[in-house]
Amino acid sequence: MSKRVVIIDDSLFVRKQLRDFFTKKLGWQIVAEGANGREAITLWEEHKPDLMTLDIVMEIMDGTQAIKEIMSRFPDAVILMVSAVRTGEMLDCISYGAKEYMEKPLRFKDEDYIEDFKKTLEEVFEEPITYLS
Amino acid sequence: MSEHEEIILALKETSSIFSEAAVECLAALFGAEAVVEDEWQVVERLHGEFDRMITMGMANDQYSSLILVAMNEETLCQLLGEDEIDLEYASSALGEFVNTYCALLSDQAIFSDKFGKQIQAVPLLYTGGCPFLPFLTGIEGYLTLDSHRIYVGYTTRKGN
Repeated sequence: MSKRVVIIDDSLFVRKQLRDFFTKKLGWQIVAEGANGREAITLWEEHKPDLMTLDIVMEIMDGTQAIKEIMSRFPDAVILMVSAVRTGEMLDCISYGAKEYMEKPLRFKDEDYIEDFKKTLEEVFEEPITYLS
Repeated sequence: MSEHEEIILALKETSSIFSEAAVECLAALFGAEAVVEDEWQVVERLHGEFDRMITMGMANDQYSSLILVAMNEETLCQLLGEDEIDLEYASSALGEFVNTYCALLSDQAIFSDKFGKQIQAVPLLYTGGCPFLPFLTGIEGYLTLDSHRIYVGYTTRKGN
């Protein structure tokens, strides 16, 4: 079933990668995009999406602060961390309530990586996810 | 051995990882299968002759470094599968390239043993000309992608 997604990343290139994956591969809808943690909070309040992807290292407000704030106010929020950070900050985000994480670089030209991403989404939503045919 | 000689030796001992990481980076981000052109060389100063060039500073307590990646606009268009690319998107895509390249280098124990883990600065895109590049010893080389060439260089010095 199609989901509504908000993408938060300070890289235009990464946002396009994610947008193409969700829309062209899965047929999901991107309802908004943002480039920092402050926008993440605002866009969550505004859209209440089925899923938010959230980068960690960003200007103005990072993803760690943003998820802490979002989860304190919206405990049912479904957030997938997407970041090159693999150490303490990622674990902090999981402890604040992130459902899962995907590591950058986003290897969307690699079919195995795409399959891993889909499996991660299936774990997040606890339901099978199908590719757009 | 002087600091300068130490850096030359360290770059020579680690030379293969710079080209290998560049090939991996292109494959990971763009799905491109690039080939290393000749053996990468230790040089007294990096240079760049392409119309899209991005630099990213890196530093820790011991070293200050710079990564330079350069290519022509048509090469970037091919990598991204686009007919035209505005500067904001070019900056973002090449910025992601140098970020990922830095991460791949840092993942190599031989690199981090020699140069330590370095904190990255914000990448800067230059167009239509060669940016100022310090006279610092570095390593540089080219990748070939079909008929396109991509330049990658890394330069470093001790101290901040």
